[in-house]
Amino acid sequence: MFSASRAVSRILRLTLVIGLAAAVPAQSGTADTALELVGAGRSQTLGLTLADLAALPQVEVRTENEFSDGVVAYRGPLVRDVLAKLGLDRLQNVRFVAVNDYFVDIPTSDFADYDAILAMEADGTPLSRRDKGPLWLMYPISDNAALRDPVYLRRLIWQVIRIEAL
Amino acid sequence: MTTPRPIPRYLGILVLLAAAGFAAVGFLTIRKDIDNLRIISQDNTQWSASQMEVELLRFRMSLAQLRRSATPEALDEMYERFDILWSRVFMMGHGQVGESLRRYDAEHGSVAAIADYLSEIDPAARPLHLDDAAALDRIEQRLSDFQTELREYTLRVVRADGAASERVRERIQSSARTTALISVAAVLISVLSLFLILRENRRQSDLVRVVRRSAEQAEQASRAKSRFLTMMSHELRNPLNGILGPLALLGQADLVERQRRLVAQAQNSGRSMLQMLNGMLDYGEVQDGRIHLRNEPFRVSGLADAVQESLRAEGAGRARVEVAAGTPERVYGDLDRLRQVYLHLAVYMIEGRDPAGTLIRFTHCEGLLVGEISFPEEDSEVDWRLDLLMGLSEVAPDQVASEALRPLIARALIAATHGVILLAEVSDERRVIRVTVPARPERLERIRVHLETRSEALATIYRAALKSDRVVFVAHGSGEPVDVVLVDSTTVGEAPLMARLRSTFPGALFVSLGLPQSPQFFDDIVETPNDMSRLRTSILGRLAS
Repeated sequence: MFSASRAVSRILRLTLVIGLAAAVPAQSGTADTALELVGAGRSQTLGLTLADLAALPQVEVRTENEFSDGVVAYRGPLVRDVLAKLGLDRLQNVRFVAVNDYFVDIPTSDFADYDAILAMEADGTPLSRRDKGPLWLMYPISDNAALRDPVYLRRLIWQVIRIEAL
Repeated sequence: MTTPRPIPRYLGILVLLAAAGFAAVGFLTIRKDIDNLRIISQDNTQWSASQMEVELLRFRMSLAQLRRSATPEALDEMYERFDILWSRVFMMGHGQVGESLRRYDAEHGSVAAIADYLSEIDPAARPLHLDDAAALDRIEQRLSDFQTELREYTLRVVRADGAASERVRERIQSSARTTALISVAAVLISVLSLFLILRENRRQSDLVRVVRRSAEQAEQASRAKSRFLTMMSHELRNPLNGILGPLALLGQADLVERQRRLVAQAQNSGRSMLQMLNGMLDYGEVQDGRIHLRNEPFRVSGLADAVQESLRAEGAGRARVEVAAGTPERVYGDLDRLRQVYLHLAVYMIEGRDPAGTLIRFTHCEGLLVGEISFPEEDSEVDWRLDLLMGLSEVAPDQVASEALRPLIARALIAATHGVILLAEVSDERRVIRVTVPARPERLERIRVHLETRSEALATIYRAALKSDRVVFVAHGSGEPVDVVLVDSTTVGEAPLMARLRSTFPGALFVSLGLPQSPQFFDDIVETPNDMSRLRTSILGRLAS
């Protein structure tokens, strides 16, 4: 009786793994991939192109930061919308990785509390690699005095290429 | 035990100012610390500077890889590395971080030179020729030179940043020392404040003890004074009664008219003095809280008669006293104290006026006995000292005017009976003082009747005629209380009989059976003794009131 139930359990687990693999195939980065989302245990990945990100609701954030001159109008999708693509918004922390291997770990509560965006444009101009693009994590600093803290200023990671589950 | 001296006000203000000053300095110091911490973060440009050096190396490596294998992937890699290097170099001068980077490069111009060179070889503007080895060697050589300069630049940034951090650390240490000093000062002020508070608390406690002791002494003095007053009043009453008794006997003697007037005058003065002594006695008891008020049924008309009689003794017999129709026959209260109240007030108000214009009228309304003392408006020109009457002005006990004595006693008794005295509105061209005291009417379940007839046969007839479950006949000498006394008016010796009956049945209603010789002795008169229906109505009607 015991061995029979263990066999059934194994079959169920195997079926689950196969089903997940079929439902969400691992999508490694392609030539057009601008951002890669990596799930927990790296079992799931999702590549998003700039077109995919542009298809999400776009939000404008007018703010200052310590890397630019004056107030700049940044535009892009909300980070929480992007994280939700792979369910990363349900995690406690995620890691943002830049093209130069710089990374910063950020609690997802930031994106629930503030309308942080993955900026794709600055003052109407698409952000190129030379202009800290194509994706730059931007907080609405000018609208929230609490975001002027150095902790948040260090989280303004640019040239983002990957977001990983922690 | 000596009471500590009170803390000078300036000392308290000084402590408060010092505390406020230290609080302000502490706040500014902490705020400065926070700013210093922020400066540390904003001056942290080491990472940006070092990344320029790293990205230059990565670009050179990608360029070398491209020369080794000219594949599209290697070409893409080289372009990307160039763009990344570009983003690092050209961030200089933009934002606070870029300004810091420019400041550190101001004397050497290394980063500015790299920026110029990157613009010169920008592959996006001018494609690289991979087959031109000499040109590529020159690029590599130049980039190698920049590598050395960037390393030196990074070192400068690290050292300058370290120096800046050192300055900030010194500032924070200074702030910390200031904070420590402020904390010590705050502790000292707290200890000083605690000491002052404890000292002040002790002083207040001592003061409370002194005040309590003074109050107790004053209370004892007041009691002693009241006791003395009571004893004196008592001691004066006895000899006064000894004077009044012989005077009464003297008044009955055969005197000439002039002597009779003198005796009457002496009697009136004696009675007035007795009233005042009684009033003072009661006032003392009220002040001591020892007064014991009676709560016994009495006839309102009896109160009116008593007031009238007392006024007569005061020489104000012409003042009218009446009971309004519909007033309950009997109410509960302290007859003698109420008599004193109305007597003292009336005598005070009559002073300087014609007593004939003064009217005291008793009514009853919603459980309250209302006595209104009024006089005509034209008499108002006489100064009646309303403030003394109503006790409106605060007067020190040792400054009480003699004329204020009667209102003072009256008000004390009114307060003791939970009554109210007020100046009523002027109505009917009369000024009215209204005194209201609680006095619930007596409701009789059974009426107790005593028959005083010339023969037992007549008494039997009346008993038969008035027989009822609610009428009880009380025999003479039984000692039981009596509500109504029926007196056969043909009884011989009316005056002595009535005097005896009144003393035997105080508070009872006296009804004359037939027309009496002296109607003033009776409260009600049934003119036709055989009219049993009228008699029954008169007696049983008392039950309903």
